[in-house]
Amino acid sequence: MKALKFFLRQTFVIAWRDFSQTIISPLFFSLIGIFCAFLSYTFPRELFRFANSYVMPAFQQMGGQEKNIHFAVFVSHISLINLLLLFCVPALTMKFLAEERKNRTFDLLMTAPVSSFHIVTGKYLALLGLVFCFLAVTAFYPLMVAVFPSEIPFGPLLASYIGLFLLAALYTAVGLFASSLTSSIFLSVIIGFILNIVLWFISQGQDFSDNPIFTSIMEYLSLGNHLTSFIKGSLTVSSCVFFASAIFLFLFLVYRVIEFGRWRP
Amino acid sequence: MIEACNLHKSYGHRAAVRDVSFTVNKGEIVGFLGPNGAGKTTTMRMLTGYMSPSQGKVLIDSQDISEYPVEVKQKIGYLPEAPPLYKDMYVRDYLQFTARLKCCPSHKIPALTVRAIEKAGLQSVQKRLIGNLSKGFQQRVGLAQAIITDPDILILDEPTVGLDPRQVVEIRELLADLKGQHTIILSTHILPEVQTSCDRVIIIHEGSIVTTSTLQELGSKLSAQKTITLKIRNNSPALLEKLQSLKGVLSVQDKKTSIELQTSSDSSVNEQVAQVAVSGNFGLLEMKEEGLNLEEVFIRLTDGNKRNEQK
Repeated sequence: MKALKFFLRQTFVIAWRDFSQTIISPLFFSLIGIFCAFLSYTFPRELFRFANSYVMPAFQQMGGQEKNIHFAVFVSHISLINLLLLFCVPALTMKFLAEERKNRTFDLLMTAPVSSFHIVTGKYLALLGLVFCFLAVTAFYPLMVAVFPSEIPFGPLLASYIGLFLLAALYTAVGLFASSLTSSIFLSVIIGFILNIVLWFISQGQDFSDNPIFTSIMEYLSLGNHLTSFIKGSLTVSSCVFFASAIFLFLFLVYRVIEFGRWRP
Repeated sequence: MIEACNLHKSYGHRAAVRDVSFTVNKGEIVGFLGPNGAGKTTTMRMLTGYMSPSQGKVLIDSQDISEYPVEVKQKIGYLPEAPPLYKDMYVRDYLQFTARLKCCPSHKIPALTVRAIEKAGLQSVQKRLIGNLSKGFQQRVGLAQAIITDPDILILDEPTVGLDPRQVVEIRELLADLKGQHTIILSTHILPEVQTSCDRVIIIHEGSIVTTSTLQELGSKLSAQKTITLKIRNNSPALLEKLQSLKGVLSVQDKKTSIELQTSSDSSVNEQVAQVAVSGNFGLLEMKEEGLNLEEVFIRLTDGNKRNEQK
């Protein structure tokens, strides 16, 4: 019990400093600015296109997903956010370990009475908080549609956002790993970005073999498949397990990298 | 208090620290002296638990630092070579954060912060951003960070490097102020610093300890000789010959504007040298005796090592 209390306290101390310092930093503001600039252009455009098609006679013959605001407007919104996160999360994570190494503030953490485990969880928690703020800002766009007298499918929207958050959490773990590898912030952004891209395209590997087991593994590794299931409004256990284990894997790698710094042969 | 047992650290094939052992008793100030790249920082990092030694162990209050890292690290305040400062934080916030990080109970933090700010003389800048402070003040913030929890042990890695002379004096005064309450290990390659503030000195060179002794011991060990410098108006070979023949004079060097004599430490030599210079009407302008200072001791010790290795 005492150990748990100590763990929570120390983790929170690290997390709070990083969170509160980053959220007031120009970097965070400019990243949110980039998000809003893109979304403010694309979201109303999609919305107007949808509204226009509604009054056209041809629309009456259309059916299924085309008629649904969730698929016609929100899905493209979600995929654009996903694309932006791919670039922006590594830019956010670079501050967390690479810059600390560069500015030698990492010495403070390494000689403080905290273990490497505290450092990893503290940093990750702070990043999750920041990513949550990102997504909260982007959620304003679909929510604003609710001011019109219309039926908004909030269920699938919520499910999509949960999926998006899990995906962003994975990008964050990957970014933190990239950040732990180097003391150059530029390099950490590049590595993080490349790793994210690799994660996205790893499922393309299924073309290499006809083996059904291999194909199904590749399908399971596909981020796109998991995100699509969330977008359709289904919260599947297998997707949650996939994200949780991938996040755990990368955080474990970060932990090993930090420990390696202590034991370096 | 602090015990280093056969510390050994190698980076790849290069051994940075080889078989370093020493003990530091409670309340002592120990100077850790060595040229750049001698292994001072590596040793300090092992003492603070930043990294683990490849071989050997560090005992603090007879607890092994790699077995009880959390408990032991609470007893240590560490100022690394580059002070670990978050440039975008305010001085006061930063100190409060470090206090929290070092497991201070929340109710003690305000008082401890005020105390550290006072001790490090940061009252005038406590509400400013660290990144905007001068190098001297940043160094002091680093020092305040090290002393904030009032730890038993202070480990300071080159605390005066890059400061102007006035700031160096201030840091020294601060150290003198801390003396007695804390056990301090201070690394430096600046010798006067050791002379003014340390009880004992550990000289390290190329990863191994060359000598461990008090300053007096070290002085007497190597002060069997002294140097006398003479300034003469009419410099002539005759004088050099006469000086050479004196008893106790080991060597004479003609340096054009002056003559340098290496002599035994016997004080009667001075008398004889003066007599020779005056009686021959050579025009004695100045006569200066220099005992062997720490700088020379240091060079002699480290050079000696090099020669041994070459053999």
